[in-house]
Amino acid sequence: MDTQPEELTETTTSSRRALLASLIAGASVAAVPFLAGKASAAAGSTPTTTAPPNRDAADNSTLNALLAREYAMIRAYKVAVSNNMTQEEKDVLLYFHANHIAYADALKGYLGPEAEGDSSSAAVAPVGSFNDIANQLIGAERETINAHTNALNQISGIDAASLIASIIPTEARHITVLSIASGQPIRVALTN
Amino acid sequence: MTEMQKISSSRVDRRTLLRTTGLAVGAGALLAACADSEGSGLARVGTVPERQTLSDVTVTDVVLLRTAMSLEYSAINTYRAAADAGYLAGNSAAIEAAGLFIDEHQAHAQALSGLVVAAGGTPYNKPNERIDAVYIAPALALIAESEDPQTDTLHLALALENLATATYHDYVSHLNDPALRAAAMSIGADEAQHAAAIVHLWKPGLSNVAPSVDGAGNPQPASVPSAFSSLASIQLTIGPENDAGQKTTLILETPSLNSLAYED
Repeated sequence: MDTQPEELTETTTSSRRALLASLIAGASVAAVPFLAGKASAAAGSTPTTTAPPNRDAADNSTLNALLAREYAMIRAYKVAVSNNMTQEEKDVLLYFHANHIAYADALKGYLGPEAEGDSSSAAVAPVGSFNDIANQLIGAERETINAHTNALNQISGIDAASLIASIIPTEARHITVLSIASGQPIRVALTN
Repeated sequence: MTEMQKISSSRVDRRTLLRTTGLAVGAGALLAACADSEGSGLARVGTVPERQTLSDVTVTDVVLLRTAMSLEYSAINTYRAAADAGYLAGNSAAIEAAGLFIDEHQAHAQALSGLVVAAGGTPYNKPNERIDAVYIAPALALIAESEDPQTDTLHLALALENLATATYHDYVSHLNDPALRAAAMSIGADEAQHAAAIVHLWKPGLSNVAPSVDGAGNPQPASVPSAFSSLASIQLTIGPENDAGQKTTLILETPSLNSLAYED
């Protein structure tokens, strides 16, 4: 069993916490105009807040960036399963690979004719033992989750935001499974 | 009976009817005079209870964040109750994990509290009363009678973490502020990781990553139950078996209008 490098753990831990901290800070700033809207409504004037749209064409470039990221993850898992590993380990990676294909398909379906083609390279090209491969995929999954979560800051259409929200938890589960499967204790797996 | 007798009998019936009706009207007038005369001014018999109207409530971003806080505290209390009852005794990995989950739920509650304050609201620093009453208290009561309280506790923990994940996922379509949607899913991802870790504690190894069934065709817990996060209701089957060998199934759903933490 490989040992998880301490540096990697620290890096991923700080990036995960940094993401939450930055999101909380961003949400606090964004709450100011929301508050202003509430205050004006309380004073009897017309509220300044409006219901978000179901779809917004302005979201398409952000969604295409996420689609490109999913293509890159599909390629990463394709490289990963070409390595030597047990059939049980390969089955898990193939399952996650299929999930990323489902995300790409969902984003393509949402974007329709606005979807851009697949021109991305693999997010990572994992090699080595299963533990090495898992660690590289954990980093790639974390970056993908961060991209999706940050995209929610920019997406205004509710339908697209809901689609992205349905992807994030499963990619987080991928990280936990890969962490535990590569021999990391749960306390480390939860901070990845 | 002769024709005359029939007519006479018919007259008596009409008189009786008139007499009875007059009596009823008189009694009604007497009761109306005794009744509370305030209100519409129309004569009526007896008193009518005041009409109960539901108060107007608005589901704002603050209400949703407060409700999320309440779920975090409900989860914390559930883990503590299970630990205090000794349901995880002998399973050091599960005990350690429960401690980690408590720490993370507390961090989530603290982060949500900051968001509530920033949005001009009042933090909700207590568990969700309705979720506790409808789901958690009955579940803990069933576990207390269970032949396998440790497995049932893990099942309850998995159900609660999946419920929390689904709640944050659901909130994305209700929150007005995009920044709050991102913050919600950052926490929702943590809850999903808890759920995946619980499945590993319950069923170690890689055979329970994807959905599967056991030899009897019963669905098994899965670390990654589907490609997309689900908003469907969550089944929790725990407790002692009845005479037919069946356990009790509770159906958990994300907080609805009757379980939101409204501001007073």
